[in-house]
Amino acid sequence: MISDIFISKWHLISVACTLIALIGLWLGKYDRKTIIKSGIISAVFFYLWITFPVAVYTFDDIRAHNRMVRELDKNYEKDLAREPRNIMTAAMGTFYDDGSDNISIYVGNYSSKSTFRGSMKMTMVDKDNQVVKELVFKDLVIEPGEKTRVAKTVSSVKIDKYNYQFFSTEQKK
Amino acid sequence: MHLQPDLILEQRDPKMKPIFWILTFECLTIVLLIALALSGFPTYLALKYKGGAYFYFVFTALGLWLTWISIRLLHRYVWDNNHLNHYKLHQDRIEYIQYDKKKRESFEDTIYLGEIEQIVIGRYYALYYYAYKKFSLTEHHSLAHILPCLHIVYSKNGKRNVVEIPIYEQNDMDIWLNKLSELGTPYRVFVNLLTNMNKEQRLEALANHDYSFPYSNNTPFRQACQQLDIQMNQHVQELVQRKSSSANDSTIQTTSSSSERGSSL
Repeated sequence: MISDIFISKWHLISVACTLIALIGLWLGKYDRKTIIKSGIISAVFFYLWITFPVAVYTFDDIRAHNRMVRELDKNYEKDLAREPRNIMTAAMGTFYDDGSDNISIYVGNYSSKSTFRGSMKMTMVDKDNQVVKELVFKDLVIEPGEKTRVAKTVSSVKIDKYNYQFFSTEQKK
Repeated sequence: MHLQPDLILEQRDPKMKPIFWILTFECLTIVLLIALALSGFPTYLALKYKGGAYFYFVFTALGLWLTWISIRLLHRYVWDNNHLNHYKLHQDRIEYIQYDKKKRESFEDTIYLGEIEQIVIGRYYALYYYAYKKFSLTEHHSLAHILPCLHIVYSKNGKRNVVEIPIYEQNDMDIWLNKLSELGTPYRVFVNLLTNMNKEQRLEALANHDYSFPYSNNTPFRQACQQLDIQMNQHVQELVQRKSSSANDSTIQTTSSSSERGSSL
């Protein structure tokens, strides 16, 4: 979320640093005017100091999210061709970071009315068709139109293909 | 505030500039927090995993040591910033309080103008002065500055003493010199720094007129400064020449004496 750039848990660090600065100015017996002026300047400085890296990470996250949503949409098109009544789609994306593969798993509910309650099983295979990972996500509650990440994982083996299955715990209406 | 109508100038050593103060305080506080975490972490591990982490208690020792160091440094910085040397020039006297930062003691004295024996314009070695002067980004920051100062030698109850008054504003020097000129004592300019010397050593150094020359400037101190630098350099060069020639003399003497001895042997 864009708003995370401006207020996040990381900003507590800048609050703490400003507090330390104020305590320092008070212990150093600076006059009231200096304490207020320097307090404000350091608060602004520490806020920007935290906001900049948070912004970089948040933009990265937003970009990754958008990529996963595109992947979901693509999978949905394919699923729809096979099964026209389908509403649920999953997607997996690999992000390279620090040499290992970070895997992000998303699910999307393409219905405009019904909430999905149930579980999803995802199987990942490598290029020799060997199963690398088999993950089951239980008790999923996905609102209509929601496209969200359900898990983050890592794999040392390159994933070539994946497939998924949804199991609804509710009777279809 | 108590009003002092005869007060001409009040001068206090500067406080550290807030930006450097905050920087110092933040760094030391962060070190302190890390140290506390480091000393507590092995205990947390031991409690969580029910023993078996005795090796990690090395970190407790390290943490406690760091805690002690950072608390001591914090305390020292706070003390230094709150105990500032203070000088007051009155119509008839100089009052001052100076702090010994190592011993954490204060020394207070009043000098009546009649007690002054010698007034010497000198140079003062101000280490880390960049953290105390007006901050500017464009300026080059050197680790130490050389500032003008006044050495005032006075005698009280038959005991000689000397006080060093650093001058942070050149205009202040004019106020001091104008007032003290009433005494008729000729000013001298001392070429050496008297850093890391105790009072006795400074008195002895100032009494040696080899290292000083008379000050004869009627222009404001700000203008006199440049000329003073040239004069100081000249004086030092003359001094070096004189020393080297006298050293040559003494080497000739020693060689001649050794040759005499050699001949006698």
